[in-house]
Amino acid sequence: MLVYAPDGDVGPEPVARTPARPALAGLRIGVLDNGKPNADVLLTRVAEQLAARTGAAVTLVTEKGPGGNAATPCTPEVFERLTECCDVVLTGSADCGSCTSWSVHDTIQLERAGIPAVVATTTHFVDLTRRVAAGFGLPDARIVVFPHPLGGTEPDTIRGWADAAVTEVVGLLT
Amino acid sequence: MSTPSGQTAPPTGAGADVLLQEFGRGVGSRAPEPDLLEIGSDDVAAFTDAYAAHGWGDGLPLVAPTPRRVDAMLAHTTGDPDEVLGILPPRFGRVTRRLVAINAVLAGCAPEVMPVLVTAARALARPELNLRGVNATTHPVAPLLIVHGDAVAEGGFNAGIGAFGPGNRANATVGRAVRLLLLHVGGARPGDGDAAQHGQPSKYAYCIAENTAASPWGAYPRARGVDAPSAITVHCGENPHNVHDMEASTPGPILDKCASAMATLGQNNACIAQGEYFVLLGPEHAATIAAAGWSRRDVSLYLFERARLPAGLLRRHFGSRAWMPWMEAVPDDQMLPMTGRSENVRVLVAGGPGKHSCVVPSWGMTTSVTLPVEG
Repeated sequence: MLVYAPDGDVGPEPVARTPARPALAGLRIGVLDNGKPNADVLLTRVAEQLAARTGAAVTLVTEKGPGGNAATPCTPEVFERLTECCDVVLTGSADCGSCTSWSVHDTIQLERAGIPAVVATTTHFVDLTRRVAAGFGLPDARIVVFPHPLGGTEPDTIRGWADAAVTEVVGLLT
Repeated sequence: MSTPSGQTAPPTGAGADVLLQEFGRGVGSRAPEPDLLEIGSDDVAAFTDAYAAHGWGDGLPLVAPTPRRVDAMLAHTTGDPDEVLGILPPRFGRVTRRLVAINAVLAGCAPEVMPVLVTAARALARPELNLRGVNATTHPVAPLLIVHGDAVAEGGFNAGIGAFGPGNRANATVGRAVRLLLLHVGGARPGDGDAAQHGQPSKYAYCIAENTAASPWGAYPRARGVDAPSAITVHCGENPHNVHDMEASTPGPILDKCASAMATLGQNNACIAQGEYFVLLGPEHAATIAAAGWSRRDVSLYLFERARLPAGLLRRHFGSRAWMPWMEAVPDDQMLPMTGRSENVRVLVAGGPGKHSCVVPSWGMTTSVTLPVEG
């Protein structure tokens, strides 16, 4: 008996990952904070430690823009500022369903624009992050994994997790 | 992207350009015909198992989508069967009339419902509905499909007793077909593309009809600027929250109970605050409210006014808030509304005789879509 498959064709085109930077010294680091609890603490700390360790500078820490939140893309204005003011960007946190989807989206848009971007996820959402990235055309997205959960964890603990991840983030970007 | 007449406004705000670009990609182009597979048996259990081996299905027995059955569905549509109607994330599946027909067969639909389902597919792809978020979130949200106008009788939908089920083929199978489209074309499989922690029963099927005959305010789509013989609305929300009032002879006590169901701390609207509420009044509650001279708009305004919680209470509970800027300026001891504006309280009539109504809160970061039915 012949039957149809129920899923059909897919639309996404593959995305080429931007080549890693030769070194981070002198480069400008941006943070795209999606407003999830502790995302700002985590990403800002990673960025600051990254700058301190490599000689880069944190030039822009921004939320997604007016009306934007974890379940939307960043506004075109914020995206433009990121691409103008930054050589590498940290995004996140991808630690729930919709925020993972949209953080990965922002990350891929930045990679499309030639900005290497690292998305911060957690042990509980790393599989989803990888699947979403592959589904959106960038299976080799730059992903850094933190313990779960971020929300409800003491900021000092979060900063400790950030410090422990800096070497890995350097490796993803260079 | 094309904009059928008289429907919801195009998306604005954060990332609107990106959303339009993403969701509009390839709409109107032609997709290849879906693959045909050889399946050993047309026995329901064997077919369902064979399909499940591909990762397809919703856990319930399926009807095999043979070309003959699919063609019978397509006979109730107009237009190219393989025209791309929209893009359904997170898989970015390109949904076509033929894929709608295939999933309608799988769900057990009668062919007469095809125009409703094709329009529902278009609605799901609208950028303001934010299907990428709806499908991906850990929240249990499911798209509620509401059928309006002539399509209700033509498709055999139930607007009266037990509209949410069980017992009516059109409501049950069309709701199911919507879910199968999300699973198959949209890739919203639990774990892979749908992170909803618990899911919710309405993720199996979530379809009702508006009870226009019992509505004192006429058909809902006209209040949204859609004046067509048939229309559909898709609202991405929680399961219905029941509201019970056996005694009131005036609007206040009925609507205060609706407001109470709306003003709870666990809903996304408590910290996101711009989402919609669909208030589905039972015909008797609606009649009591209308007899006092209230319009549909009066009900929305009253509920916007009454469904409130103290600003300080909300702040204590939510350090992370996606509020409108003015809300942050309201002092702790003042009351804040549960949604950003009164228009977000959507009021329509559904269900049969009795003294119950219900409230369907939004997931939050999604806007309902009302479209004229076009096959």
